[in-house]
Formats: sequence, C-alpha cells, structure tokens
Amino acid sequence: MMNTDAYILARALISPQKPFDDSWMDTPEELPHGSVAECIDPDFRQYIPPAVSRRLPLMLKRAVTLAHKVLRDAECPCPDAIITATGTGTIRCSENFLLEVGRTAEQSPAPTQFISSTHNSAGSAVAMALGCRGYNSTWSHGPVSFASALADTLIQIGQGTGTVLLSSHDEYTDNYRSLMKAAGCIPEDAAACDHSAAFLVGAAPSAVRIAGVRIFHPERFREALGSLCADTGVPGTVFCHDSALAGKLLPGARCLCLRDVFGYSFSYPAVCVYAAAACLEKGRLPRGYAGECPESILVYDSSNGTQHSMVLLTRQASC
Amino acid sequence: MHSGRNIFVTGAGVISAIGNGKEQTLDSLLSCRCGIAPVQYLDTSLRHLPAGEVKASDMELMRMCGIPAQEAGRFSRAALTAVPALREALSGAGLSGGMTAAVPFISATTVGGMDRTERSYPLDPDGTGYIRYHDCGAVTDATASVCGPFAMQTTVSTACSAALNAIIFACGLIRSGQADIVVAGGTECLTRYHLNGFNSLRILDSRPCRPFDVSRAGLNLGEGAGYVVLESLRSVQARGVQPLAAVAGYANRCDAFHQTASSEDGEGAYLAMTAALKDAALEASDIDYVNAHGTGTPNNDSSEGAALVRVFGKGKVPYVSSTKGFTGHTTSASGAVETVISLLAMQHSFVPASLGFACAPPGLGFTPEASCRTASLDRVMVNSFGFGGNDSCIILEKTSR
Repeated sequence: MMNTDAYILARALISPQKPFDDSWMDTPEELPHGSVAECIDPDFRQYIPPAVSRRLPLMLKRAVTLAHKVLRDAECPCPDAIITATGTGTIRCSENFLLEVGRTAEQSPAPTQFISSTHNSAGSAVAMALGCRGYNSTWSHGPVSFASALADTLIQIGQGTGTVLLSSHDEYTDNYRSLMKAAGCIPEDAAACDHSAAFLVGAAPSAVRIAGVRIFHPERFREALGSLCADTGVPGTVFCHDSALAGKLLPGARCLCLRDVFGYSFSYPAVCVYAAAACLEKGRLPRGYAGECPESILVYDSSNGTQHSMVLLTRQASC
Repeated sequence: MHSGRNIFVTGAGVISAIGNGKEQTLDSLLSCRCGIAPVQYLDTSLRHLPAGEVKASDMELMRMCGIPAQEAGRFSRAALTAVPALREALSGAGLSGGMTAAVPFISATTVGGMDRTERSYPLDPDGTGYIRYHDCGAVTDATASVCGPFAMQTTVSTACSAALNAIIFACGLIRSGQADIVVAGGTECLTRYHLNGFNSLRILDSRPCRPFDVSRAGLNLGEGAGYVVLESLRSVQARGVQPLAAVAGYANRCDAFHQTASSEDGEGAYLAMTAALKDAALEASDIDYVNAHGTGTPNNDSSEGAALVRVFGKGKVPYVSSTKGFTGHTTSASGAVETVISLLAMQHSFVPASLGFACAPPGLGFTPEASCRTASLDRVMVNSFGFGGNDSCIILEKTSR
C-alpha cells in the first residue's frame, strides 16, 4: 500500500478516560485490572436532540456525538465521506434481537433491535444526522477493522475527497464479554471496555500527518515496516498492543502499551492512533515517559493472531 | 481492449440457489430455472417463507471444500459457501498455489458467523469458544485459510451493498497503484437471525418474489457467494490473461434517509448511478442493461425505479431485470453474485429474465424483461443497495479480444 498525504484535522474519543479531554496524559482514571472498565460518556444532549437520542442505541449515540464533536472542532459543516470501523457492531442490539428470537420462538420479535444491529447502522446514523450523501463504508474485521477503514480513507483522500469522517466503535455486553474472555479473545491482563473514536481526516495540512497504514501477516513484519517507514525512518516510539513483542521486533524502541489506560476492545488500534495524535499535537508523551516528544510514532497492533497492522503518524512542525 | 480502462475482471466465481459455479448458474439463467423454494436446510420455524438456499447441507459443503469434519467449528456456512466461489474465481484467473501471496482479499458479509452463534448463544455448553468465529472478519479469515495465503484480508460490512463495496474498494487499490491484482466479493448464509429480522420488518413475501411487478409484496432471502479477480492493465498484459470485462466505473453514495427504507425519489441510488457514469466517462445512453437491485419490496422497487428514470430519462431506460427472482436476496453477497451474473450475460449475449415480473405498476416508467432475451451487451450497470441507504453501482464493459 502506498503512503498518502493525509492529516488529522480533529479527533475525539469516548473511553474509560474523561471524554473530549486529554487529561489521561497526566492524571488518568485508574482502571480495574483484568476485568471490566466502564466508559465515561459525554453529555449526549449537548450534541443530539433528546427526541433523536431516545431512538438511538448507545453505540449510535456515541457515533453521532463524536461526529458532531470533531466537525465542530474542525469547523467543518459536513464531511465528504464517512468511513466507519467496528469489530463487534452494535452487539447489544444483536444480542437483544437474538435472545428475543429465542424467547418468542420466532414468533414476531420486535424489529427495533434488528434494524440497529446491522454493522453499518453507525455510519448510516451519522450520515442521516449530518445529511451526508457522500461515500459511506463500514469495515468489520476484528482489530484490523480500523486499519482497513484507514486504508479506505487514504484511498478516498488520494482520489480527491476533501474530508473523511473516520471513526471506530466497539462495545461489549456481559454475555459477549465473558464468552470472548473464555475464548481467549480478550487479553488476560486487560480490562475489556467500550471504545468510540473519531477523526476528521483531510488533505489540508495539520499538526499530525497520517503517513501510511499497513495490514500484513506477522511473518511479513519487516517488509511492511520497511515500506511504511521508507521516507521517515523507523520511529523510536511505538504505541502497541504487546510491549514485549514490539520491543523484540523493534529493539531500542520506546514501546507504550496503553491498555492499562484505555482498556481493550477491537477498536483499541483507533484509540492508540488517537493517543499518538494527542502526543504529537501537544509535543509530549504521557506523564511517566521521559525524553523529548518524537517526530513520529508507529502504532503497531498485534492483537489478531493472523494479521497485524501498523499506522505511521508524523508531527508537522510548521502547523 | 478499451484504451482508457485500467481495471479488468480476469476471474469470476459464484454459488447460489441456482447452482454451484458459473456453468450451472448460466444454465439456470438461460432456462429460467428459479432457485427459490421452501426452506430445507436452515433450522427455523418460519418454513412457510420461501428462500434461495444453496442446495447443500453444511456437511456436504465441507466435503466439497475438502475441510475435515473436526474443523467444522471454525467454519460458518458463509465461509463454506465462499470457498467454492472463491476457488472458481482464482482458478479462472489462473491464480494457483502461491500466486495469491501478493494478492489482497477483500470480502464482505454481514451475518458473519451468526449461523453458529445462534445455536448456542449466550452459552458455550461445549466450551468450543465458538464466539471467536462469530464476527465478520472471522468468516473472511476462515475462507482465506482454505484458499490463501493472501497478502492481507479484510471485510466490508455495509449490509446488502457490502460485496459491491468490496469490489469498489478493490478497484480503488488498483487505481491508486497499491495492488495489481485483488480478489473481492462477498458471502452470506441464511440464518434464523436475519430471516426473523427481515420478517419482523414485514418485507418478506410468502410467495416467490416478483421484483418490479405491480403485485410485488416483498423479498425472499437467499444465500451464496460471488468473487471476482480484478487486475490492472499492466498485470493483464504481463500475465497474458484474457479479461472477462473491464470495470469502467464505480461509485458509492448514501441516501441518508432512513435505516431500512429508501427515499421516494431514490436520491442515493441516483447519485450512485450518475457518479459511476461520470467515473466511467460514459453517458446514460451508453448502458445496454441494468442488473437492478430489485428486491421485490414495494419501497425498494419504486425508489430504484424512480432513480432509474431520473438517470436514463423517461422512455430511455435500457433493458432492466432483477435476478433476485432466481437466487433470492443474497444480502451481503448480492452485489458480487449479480456482478458474476452480469458478466455471464455480457459474455453470452443475453438479458436475464426478471423472474416473477408480469405487469408494471402505474408510473414505473420502464418495463423490466419478463423473459430471457438475446441481446449484445457492451456495457452493463450493476446496482446494489443496502440498509442505511448505502447505494453502490459499478459499470462493466465488454473488452475486445
């Protein structure tokens, strides 16, 4: 995949840390170890009329709120395209409808939960909220979903699309989380939690450039890294899923695993991109990490056994 | 070959209710053999609803794919239907063995592994960890594990337009110079989950569907898979392969109207079709046939009909048919299944029948083809629309030898 000039024009995150706030860099909320972390939601009423909000499942509320937030911050009335990532989709709705089908023995389950359970319901809800009729796509491939959506975003920007609202959303229910935990799909030491992250990406330069993205099989790590970092050199700072693995593959690199700050979901790679962009924008790393802020950060996700992903972000000094 | 085109289809594979492979599919299309029948394989109490099932049990599909019985747990029926279609596409393009290692695989599904999940959720009585095969990406990974290795694989999930969006993304990879060969398409299996979901929306017909007909009363769900191998001009020339067609243009737009209903004037569909024409540098009059989304629901067909008249002009709409009367609505696979059907129509010079169509409703503005018609087709438009007003369109173009 080629590298494209695209920039993060605005960003917002809903996670177990305070929303719309980078206080996590200095005074992070403490997460429970190895269990469940609750998301801290913003006041949705600031962004969505109550009558609309009542009809939206939680994940869609988050998606629409984040969309309004990043567009306000970037002073952009409407994006040209909407690209969404989700590993689980609106699993609460899926679970509710699935259980309803069983409970009613397939006799007239109510349609509401089914309608919202389609994976692209978040991207569609955002399009309807914004009146955006441009390109609209949704990617769903576990923790590779966000990298896929980002690859799509870079293609759109490369083809001349002015701005893309890129977001990633995942949520858990108690049932789903315990099944996933038992199946080994959530790291033992991670607090599983919901995440929603959004970015307005455009071709106009800003403080943070998205230099490229790669999705690859683990045995092709060197090849992917080499092509991604051909112009910038390999960054000395890596935001990762597994510090031990990242440290082994990138000896000498400073590896930050942010799961103890944000917890884990399929959207964790999007959270890492959010966090890396915050650091580059502010010109410093989170408290506890010494040294100067790097000029570039590699976000390396290895949480999927068969495929890994990398995103390269660089700081634009003049912006 | 058309001098201005840079994306070509060099392989295609399909499985649906009307056959396993292009040969059986072609035979069914030419002989107007419908694949919609009472539910046979899905364990459901809604057996009064006809559906377009692939005519094989999971075990039969596993044998067909050469997957050992002990690995059954990791293969959704969606993956089992994907494998034969993907193999046919790769084989048709002459991609065998390790030749796929540099090829990205872009698949589509929405139900993912729901057919397995719905048998046990919320429990895991056997402790198999089936949930790890539930999500959409797991279906693509399972498929890739049989047909790959691929350079990478990922999954689009935009409901019923997903497979066409996978193809559109694949075209973007080629056009932007990021790949020379990409395989793309989609797969979907029938599940109790979405059969009940569509039934709860009251958009399923208890009779075989009748797209665009005055008496249409809903859709029939179907299942299947379709994949195409897309290739750059440079790669086609270097490998010396004969393309099945060129992809002249493509576009996706959003209706931004309702999560499950289309706008009355088909704005999203209109925008997608006109953008695809612009992308292809073609006029509406250059299109010979439209393989319509045509689900058979009153809402879709009137909305799509309005959009077609807006794009082509009253009295100027080219041949139109919906092939969902053959296959049922294969949801996330439909864009790819119908792309392969459209390729067959171009290659064998016919317009597939719109099965179930007899009489147009007042104001439709065109008359779909009620029976199979011989016609030379140079350019075919394929429409695929999904929940959330996700509207996609590609234009296929015949290539000269």
